[in-house]
Amino acid sequence: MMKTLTPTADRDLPTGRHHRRRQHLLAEVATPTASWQASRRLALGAGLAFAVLLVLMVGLPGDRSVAPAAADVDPIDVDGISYIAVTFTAYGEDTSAVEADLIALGLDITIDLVPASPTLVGELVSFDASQPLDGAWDGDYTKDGVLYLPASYGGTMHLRVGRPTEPGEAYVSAADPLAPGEALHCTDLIGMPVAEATLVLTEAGLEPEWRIDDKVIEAPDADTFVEAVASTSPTSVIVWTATRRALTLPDPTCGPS
Amino acid sequence: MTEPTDRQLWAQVAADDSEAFGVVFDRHARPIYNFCFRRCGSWTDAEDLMSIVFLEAWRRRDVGLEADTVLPWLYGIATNVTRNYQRTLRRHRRALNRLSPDVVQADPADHVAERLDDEAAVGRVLTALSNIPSLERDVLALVVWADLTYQQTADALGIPIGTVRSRLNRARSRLGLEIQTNPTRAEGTA
Repeated sequence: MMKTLTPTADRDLPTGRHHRRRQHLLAEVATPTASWQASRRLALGAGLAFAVLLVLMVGLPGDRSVAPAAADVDPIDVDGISYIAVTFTAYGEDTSAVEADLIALGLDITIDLVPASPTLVGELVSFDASQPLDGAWDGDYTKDGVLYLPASYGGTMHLRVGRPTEPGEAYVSAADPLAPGEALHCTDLIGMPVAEATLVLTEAGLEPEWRIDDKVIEAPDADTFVEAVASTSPTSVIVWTATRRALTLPDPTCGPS
Repeated sequence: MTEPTDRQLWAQVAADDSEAFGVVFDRHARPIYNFCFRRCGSWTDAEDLMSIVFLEAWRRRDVGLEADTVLPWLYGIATNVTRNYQRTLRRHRRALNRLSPDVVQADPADHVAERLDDEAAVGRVLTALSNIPSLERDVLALVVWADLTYQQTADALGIPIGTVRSRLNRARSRLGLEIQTNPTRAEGTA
């Protein structure tokens, strides 16, 4: 696996680039107000102006190219910790109204909504944070589609939250397709002979891309079994096959078969 | 003469010493460059992303460095920077225009053909990994590519060590493959 995941050796920067990158970097940081930090402020200002412009455009008749996202944003306490609870009610591309609500509550947070599989809609799929989250955030940030942001957080943060896909769109983030609420829940696909699996996938409306390890194959051998599966869109999955049948345990969320 | 430790250097960096920052760059540019490459699959973009990582590190230079080495923290920044790297590059385009060296003729010593092979190979890995949730992918990248301990990975991502273990386990089962980690390193502390 190590070899599969790390197929290349480390390399140096191309000849002369280390020195030049270093030179440019030091020149950049030596003049913070004139360049790097100033450009961030300018970019932020320009971004806010652009967001306002987008909101205005969305309001114009006949131009609905950037749909607004909407969310309920409420301060709450859970186990003595103060959070801002965010529940998305609409999943447009323009998140500026939600961000403005968060700013009003003291959180400097930007949000992207990314196409995600059903159970990740409304869930936080990744984030960048400028400061440590000092234990208020325990690694599981969402519950039942509600996003809990620590109210005391003083840094900046960029969140990516799952949204439903548009027609033809691929997932940016997908949960285990066999999990409750996902496309292949209770199908017992793992360990299934590929012929039987093909029928299950067809019935579920899913187009498989067959693979052995990281190699895509035209069609699986008839005497192979499903080893693993991952969702790539509402209509497609990657299915890994193996010659040995995987040992599986009954899924307790599926009841007696 | 003894080389200053990262912690000593970072104290100087926190006091706006850009030369000390240059020494940090010399020490850690290469691993960050290679990590960025494995996250994005392009050597050219990896160079820009590496610059953004160091710019971001400079911007956050007042953070107290807990460990003796700054590298895990830089990997944490690199994880954030590379997670949606095309957007990151767009956002930092203006700074990158100032930072990027002029286009130069490729040097035979740069192994251009091998670099293209690298990009194809890493592209295949990234495709395979694109179907696991990004939070799990981040953990996997830090443990496997950056060779961080679980504790260092937890510190880099700002999450509990138990979450590192569970995400790595989930990534392992989703991929249906054995992810080998050195138990001593993986269970060690920073």
